[in-house]
Amino acid sequence: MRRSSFVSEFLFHYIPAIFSIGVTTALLFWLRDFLDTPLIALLYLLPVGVSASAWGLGAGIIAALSAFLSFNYFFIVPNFTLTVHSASDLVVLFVFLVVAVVISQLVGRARAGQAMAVEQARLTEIASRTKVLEESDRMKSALLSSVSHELRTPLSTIKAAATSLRSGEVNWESEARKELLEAIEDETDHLNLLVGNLLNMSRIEANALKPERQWNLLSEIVGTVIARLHHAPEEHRIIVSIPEDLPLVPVDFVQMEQVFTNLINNSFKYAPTGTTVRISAQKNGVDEIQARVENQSPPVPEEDLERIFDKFHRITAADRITGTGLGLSICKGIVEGHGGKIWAENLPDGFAIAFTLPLSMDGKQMPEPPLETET
Amino acid sequence: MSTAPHILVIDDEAQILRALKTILGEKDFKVSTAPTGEEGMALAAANPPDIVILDLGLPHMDGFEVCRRLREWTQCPIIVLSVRESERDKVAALDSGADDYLVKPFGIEELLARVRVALRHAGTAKGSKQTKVTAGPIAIDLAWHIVTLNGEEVKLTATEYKLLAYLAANAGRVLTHQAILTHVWDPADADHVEYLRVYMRQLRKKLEADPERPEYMITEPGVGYRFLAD
Repeated sequence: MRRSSFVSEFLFHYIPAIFSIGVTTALLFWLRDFLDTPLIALLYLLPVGVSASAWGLGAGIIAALSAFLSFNYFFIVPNFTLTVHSASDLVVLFVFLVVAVVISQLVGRARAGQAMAVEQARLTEIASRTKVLEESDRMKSALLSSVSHELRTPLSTIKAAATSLRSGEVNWESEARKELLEAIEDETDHLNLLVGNLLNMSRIEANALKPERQWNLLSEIVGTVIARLHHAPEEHRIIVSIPEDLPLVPVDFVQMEQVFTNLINNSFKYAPTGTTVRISAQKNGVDEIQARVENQSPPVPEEDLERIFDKFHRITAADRITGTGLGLSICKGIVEGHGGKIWAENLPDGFAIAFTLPLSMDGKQMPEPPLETET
Repeated sequence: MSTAPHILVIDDEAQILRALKTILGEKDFKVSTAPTGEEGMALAAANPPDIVILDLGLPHMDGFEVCRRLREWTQCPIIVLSVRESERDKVAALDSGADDYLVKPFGIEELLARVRVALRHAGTAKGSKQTKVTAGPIAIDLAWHIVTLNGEEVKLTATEYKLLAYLAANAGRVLTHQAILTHVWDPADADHVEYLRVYMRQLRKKLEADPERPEYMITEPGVGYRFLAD
């Protein structure tokens, strides 16, 4: 290994260096009548510097020595010998050699340093990519364990209910039977919601959301969401405050439904029983609307206000609140996919999530529907 | 009906076929099942059903293909089964001949309601059309173009009436945005969903107790609208 590297060093680095000195010598010899000794010395420094830069420190030194010898032999009186008659010529030669070697060293080191810096940058990039992959693996494990837990909870309820109904231990006409059947139905809906969340999350990750935007009334979307909510409306008051003249927004109905569903469900989860959840929207300048979902849940620490939109972030202990922690990150993905922004605010008596939606689609605002008068 | 209606269910999942055969059988339907599109089409040709329930997510021959091919020779109602995040597929199925859709997982009451509506419309298509449609306090006389709410007449604009009449004539069935816009406005307006949004809101304001939570004029997200009559 070392022998072959020396041979390749020799062939690819030293020979070119010597060759460059040879070429320079021939050139200078041809022009010798127009050049004086100091000028020749300076000109010889060029191939030395080039050799060090192109082929490394070793080549530079070789070039310096070859230049020194050629300089002496061809241009210092007496010519074609290595003896030196004049003292000043000797000084020039000596200074030349020192300068040539110093230059080779400097250039050679700079080049080596540069090569090292490139290598360093490459290693840093590999290190950071490894970190990203590790983080991604960690999140995938977190997702898998969170999902398994979340899936098993409703499944346990369903199994318990179904097996007790089959076992005949429950009286078929009883209230308990109705409750068990209701539990089975509710938990299947819950599982369905979970699967939908996971699907949405994976679409967001793959940048495959592709909202199918159509002109929509935000109040219609909110109304549909509220109509589809199950129990929690009994425990909270819902107020919808969307002005009638709010312009239509170009959004994907189903995706916006998901956003409001997640925000309202979150409100139900975190806000104390009996409190109010308020959904509102208003025009924000000419280009956008701002929608808000406000509740009376406890405030979130300032430093967490942005982090709650991360995947799996939970403000309270995981075993107290159900859910995968994906809800808000899905909202963020969908809102941003529509060109809007989403953020959280602490209110004097509660907490709010707000988001903006642009009013134009493909650069155009909503066309005016044709008016008509009553018959 | 003297004979029990014959339902053909085409779905690649054995569990669903088994469950539907049992449940629909209990409700006095005659049920045939097929696990693939090809088999379904063969069964339909051999023994024409009164209604077809078709899964859109069939492997090999997909649901759209089956729908299209069936429509080449039969007008029997087709209800498609699909998953939630595929509104585009539902609209495509409805536009290529399906009459209604159900999202999996669905409750059996929903399925039965859709089946009944589909069979009723198929029946009236052959016989005379209904001229009076009621939905709670709302009464629509399609012959005299009179709409009342709790017995009192409601003034509607020409377009509002046309929209309501189209919905009522297809009561119980989903109507895609495109179908409504084409019928009530103009085929050239098939993309102007905003007209529909505004007019539906106006109708709800005039006829629904709570326009934000309508009981009769229902939004089908990403697909269209449905009018629930009595």
